Amino acid sequence: MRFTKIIGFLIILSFLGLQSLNAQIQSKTKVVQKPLVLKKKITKVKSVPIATKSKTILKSASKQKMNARKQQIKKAVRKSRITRRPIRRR
Amino acid sequence: MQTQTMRHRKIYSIIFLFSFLSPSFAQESPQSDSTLLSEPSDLLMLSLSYTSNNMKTKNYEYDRIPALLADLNFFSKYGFIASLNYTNYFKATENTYEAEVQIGYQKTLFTNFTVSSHYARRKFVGDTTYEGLAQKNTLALDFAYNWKFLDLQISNSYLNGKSDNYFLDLDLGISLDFDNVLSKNDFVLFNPTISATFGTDYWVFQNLRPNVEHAVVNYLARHNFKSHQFEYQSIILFVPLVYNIGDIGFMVNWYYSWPSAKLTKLSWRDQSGVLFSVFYTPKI
Repeated sequence: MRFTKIIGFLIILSFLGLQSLNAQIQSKTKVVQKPLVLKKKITKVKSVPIATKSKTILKSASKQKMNARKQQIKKAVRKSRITRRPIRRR
Repeated sequence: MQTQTMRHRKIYSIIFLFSFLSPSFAQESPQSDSTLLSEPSDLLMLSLSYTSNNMKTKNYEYDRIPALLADLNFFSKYGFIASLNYTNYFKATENTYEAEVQIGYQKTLFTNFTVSSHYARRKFVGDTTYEGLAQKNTLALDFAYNWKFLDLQISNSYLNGKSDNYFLDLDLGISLDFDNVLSKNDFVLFNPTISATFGTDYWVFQNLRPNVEHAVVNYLARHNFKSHQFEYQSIILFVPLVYNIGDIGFMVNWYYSWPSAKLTKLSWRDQSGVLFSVFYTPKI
């Protein structure tokens, strides 16, 4: 009987101990997470100029691509000889 | 454990190989933007045209041969060219059309010098008075040089059919283009060209019976014109004006051809007309 009481007491203690331990861990992780959140914020702030830069690069790239395509169409119109098609040797 | 490590190594090597083969898979492409943009790409061009071809000739009972034209051109980034050309003479009393398949290759050297060659096979169906030069096979070799806004071209072509002929075309053109005229995505191209044509004249006699041919040769000889030889044949002027926006383009082309004195002696007159075209260049 005494043995059972001791075991019961130990179970209650361990339960309480686990809870406190869990709370401690949670509080520790919260403390650890705080600087992580800050880090994330910092990286976000840092990424703004990079995004703007990449947008500008993309804009100029699409402009260059458009100009290259224009040149290609001009060359194709000249090369296709459509203009010559109606002239025939009779 | 060892087998697991081996498996991991295999997976890593596959991922590495894949990232090397596909630059899009990798987060950062080793190529710079400018390198990627300077790379040529394939181009497909479809066009539909109408021409009012006025041929003032006394030999034929008609002097106008309007036609509908359809063209499909493919320009490969590696320089290969393929085209399909269809012409329908809708004013003819019977169904009259011709189709030509062309394959070729072009190479640009020293930035503005282009060499190109092509082979074409042609089929004509219908009223033969619309046929003109009856060629079946064409083999051509062209040299083009572009200097600032000037285009110079020398075209050599060998035509095989009812008669075998060789032609030499010397072109001089002005190429003026203006970007962003009405929008960011458009251009205007003005490319007037003058062309002098030289060639053999065997095709002139291709449909004549031997006795008629003999009479024509004698007639020309009496007017100091030699026959069956290589000679100057015509001057042609093309004045195309192109407006292109995005993938769609429009062209108005006025043309005029003056035949040589010898061909005029054979009662041939000037050839002129306007060509209206709409073309589509889808992104492929």
